[in-house]
Amino acid sequence: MKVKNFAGMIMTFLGITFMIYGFATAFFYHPYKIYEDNAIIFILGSYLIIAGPGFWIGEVPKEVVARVRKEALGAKEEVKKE
Amino acid sequence: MISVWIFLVIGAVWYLTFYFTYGKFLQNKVVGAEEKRLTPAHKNFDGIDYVPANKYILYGHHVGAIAGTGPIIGPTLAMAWGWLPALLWILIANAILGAVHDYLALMASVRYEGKTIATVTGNVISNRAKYIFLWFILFSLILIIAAFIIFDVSIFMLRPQVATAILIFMPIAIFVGVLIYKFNFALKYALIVGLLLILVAIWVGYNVPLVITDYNTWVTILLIYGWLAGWLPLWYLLQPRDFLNVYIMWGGIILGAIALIISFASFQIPALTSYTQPLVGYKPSPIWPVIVLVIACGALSGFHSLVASGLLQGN
Repeated sequence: MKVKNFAGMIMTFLGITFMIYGFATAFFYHPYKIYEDNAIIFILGSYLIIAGPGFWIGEVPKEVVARVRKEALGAKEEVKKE
Repeated sequence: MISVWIFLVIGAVWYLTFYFTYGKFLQNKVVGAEEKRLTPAHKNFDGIDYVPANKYILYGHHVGAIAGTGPIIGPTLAMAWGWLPALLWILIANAILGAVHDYLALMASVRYEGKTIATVTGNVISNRAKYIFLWFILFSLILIIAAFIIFDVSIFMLRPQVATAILIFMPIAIFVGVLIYKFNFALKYALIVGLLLILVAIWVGYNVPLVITDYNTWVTILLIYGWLAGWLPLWYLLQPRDFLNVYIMWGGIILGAIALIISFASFQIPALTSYTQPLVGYKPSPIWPVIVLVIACGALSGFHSLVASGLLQGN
């Protein structure tokens, strides 16, 4: 596992934690509202969840890239023949 | 009083006629589109910005990107002149100009290896034209981003329920994208999962609003989101987000159309109020040419060439 994959995992984990924390505050501090600073923590969590998996699982595997390229080149050859 | 659903039927017939006649003409005679030709998504596949997409996803991505707040705000503002000018402008400009512009911008980009419309301009006209166009794009995008951020912040502050639902919706969109592209999930199942989760997000949003009272904090939050969305691979966030959005939008349109037909509702405002209304900058604004500026995305918008050649061409 590369460093950036690990960083992505950490970001995702923190993102989930922040979102749950921000959401939970709605029931403890300000009834049924995610309020001000807690809202910012919730948003930060959402952003980390958006970006984290991109580092972690965001790349399409090399074998998929190779397969699609091969298919594309094959199709290109067919077009040329016609 | 005329029932609105009659215009609904006229509109549907109008669009279908243009789609199957003028659209076919453009496709076959002007562009010469063939299924056998490889698109840049196949030729330049990189797993990030060039990733071939299913045609339904592609449709959702484009419509979701162009039919945001613009087509709602514009016609609503234009109601100040009465319903007839807006209806005529949308029907005529949309079928004859807007759809043609979007399609040709996309196909021009596809023919030039998926380059942006500015690069295409450089190849077709001159390098000077390319740089002038790039500067124009930069300034117009700053203007567009500012306008939409102001609008979105107003919504989030007025209806904080929307903010919660949208913030939960973003990870859902990524989840659906990963299901489709990483786990090879069948599209219909991914769509069902995504839509069900969005319903849950909307329900949660209605019950637990997200309240931030400072205007500038919201502006900063949205600017960071804009940077994040532009930085991440297309297939990962923007594509599934727009794809899911468009089904929510279609659900709303279909339910609205059914409601119009069942209720036999008629227009509540006159067909034409006055040729000049204080619409732009609270100064008297004549229908022509101001309607072109007021209803942009709903009828004809140059911004769509950027969507076509900057987002869609790689899929």
